Amino acid sequence: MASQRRKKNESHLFRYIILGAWALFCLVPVLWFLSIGLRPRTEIITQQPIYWPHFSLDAWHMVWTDWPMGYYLRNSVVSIIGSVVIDLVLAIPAAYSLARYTYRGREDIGFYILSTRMMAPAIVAIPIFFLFKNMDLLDTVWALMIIYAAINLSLITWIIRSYMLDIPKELEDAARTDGASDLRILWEIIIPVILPGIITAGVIGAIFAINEFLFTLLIASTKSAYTMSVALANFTGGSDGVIYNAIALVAFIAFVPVFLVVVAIQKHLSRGLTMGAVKG
Amino acid sequence: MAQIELVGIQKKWGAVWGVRDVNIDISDEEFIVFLGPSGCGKTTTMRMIAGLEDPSEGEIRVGGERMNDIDARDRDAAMVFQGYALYPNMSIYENIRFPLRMRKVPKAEHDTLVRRAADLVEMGIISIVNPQLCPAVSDKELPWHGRSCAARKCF
Repeated sequence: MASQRRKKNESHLFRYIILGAWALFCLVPVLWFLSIGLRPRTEIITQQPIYWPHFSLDAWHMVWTDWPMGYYLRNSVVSIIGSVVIDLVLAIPAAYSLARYTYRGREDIGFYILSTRMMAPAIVAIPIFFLFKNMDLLDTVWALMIIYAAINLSLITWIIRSYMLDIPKELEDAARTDGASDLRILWEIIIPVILPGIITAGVIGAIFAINEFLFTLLIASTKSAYTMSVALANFTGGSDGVIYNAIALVAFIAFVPVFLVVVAIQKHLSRGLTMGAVKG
Repeated sequence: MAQIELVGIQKKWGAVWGVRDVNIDISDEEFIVFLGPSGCGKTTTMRMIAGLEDPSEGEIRVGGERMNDIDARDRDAAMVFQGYALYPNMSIYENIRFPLRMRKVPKAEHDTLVRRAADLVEMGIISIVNPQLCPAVSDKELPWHGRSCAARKCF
């Protein structure tokens, strides 16, 4: 009994060591960036290695006082949350239709939605610029919201569709004989059952949106609609040269919200809620 | 309950026959068992009666009324599924209550009806369990899946 317990403890310890090593490996670039961000600028580009770097908040002050980084962060967060909400509102019914209804051209429509993702974004850059210019939406967070939503819609639709296909059809049939309409089935059964999938799709959409650069640069031509990704690029030009510590710190700040969101919802990111619905 | 008549029912998917020329007359309160090898069309016939499948040909009548064009949710037919099909996002109590909510039965009657249905299938414990504390369907250890599925259809 005691030896069995020891064996179990040993296997747990081994698992923790492996997972800890992997976690450290993944975190090193992030911590590296933080350490660059909190060092004086002169210590970053040196010929000699520095074993005991000095701690400095120069970049921190620069980021928050010289540049309105809080404003850019707000722009990023608002445009990303808005785009994910738009995407989910449009993608959930679209995915349900693609997953469950049979009609002519269903596969073609599904493929068409996916194919919009296959196109190089640069192809539509100029038309999109003129489109938003004519709509008087240039330099606004609304434009960013719409463009992020449009870019990610196909991906989110397909992810949610795949989750919906995994739901046993019997669940819907049972709900139908219980007197539920299609909309009620979607709202009361499908959405709660695939909620982890919907959250996963939303997080993926948010990560894609936070990394988006080309369209943001195109639409945000003045600072009023700058996001973190475009603000980062600002530190590489100008009379000051490349400000590495500020770049590193801003990259770290951009990473934090995504990291916090993922930590907060990690329980939902794992699937398996449909298990037990239908005993096979 | 009511009389169910199947008149010349056929179901075809492309060139594949699911059900061919079925004629059955089930009297009110009569107990009927469909027996046959797998793939012979038992489930398809039942799904057509419940309104989950449209017959390619023929007529389904319940209580003398033609049902072919009536949606499954308006037929008031109870069907227990082979795999139970309990809603995993709801507790067992909520599963039994679901049809009452969908059919807009006054809220005040829900609790009495759910407990009565649970008693009917001898799920005694459900009657004393607080709805909020009622276990989730995902708890596979519970032997209630089949019973709660039947209870859901007792209204």
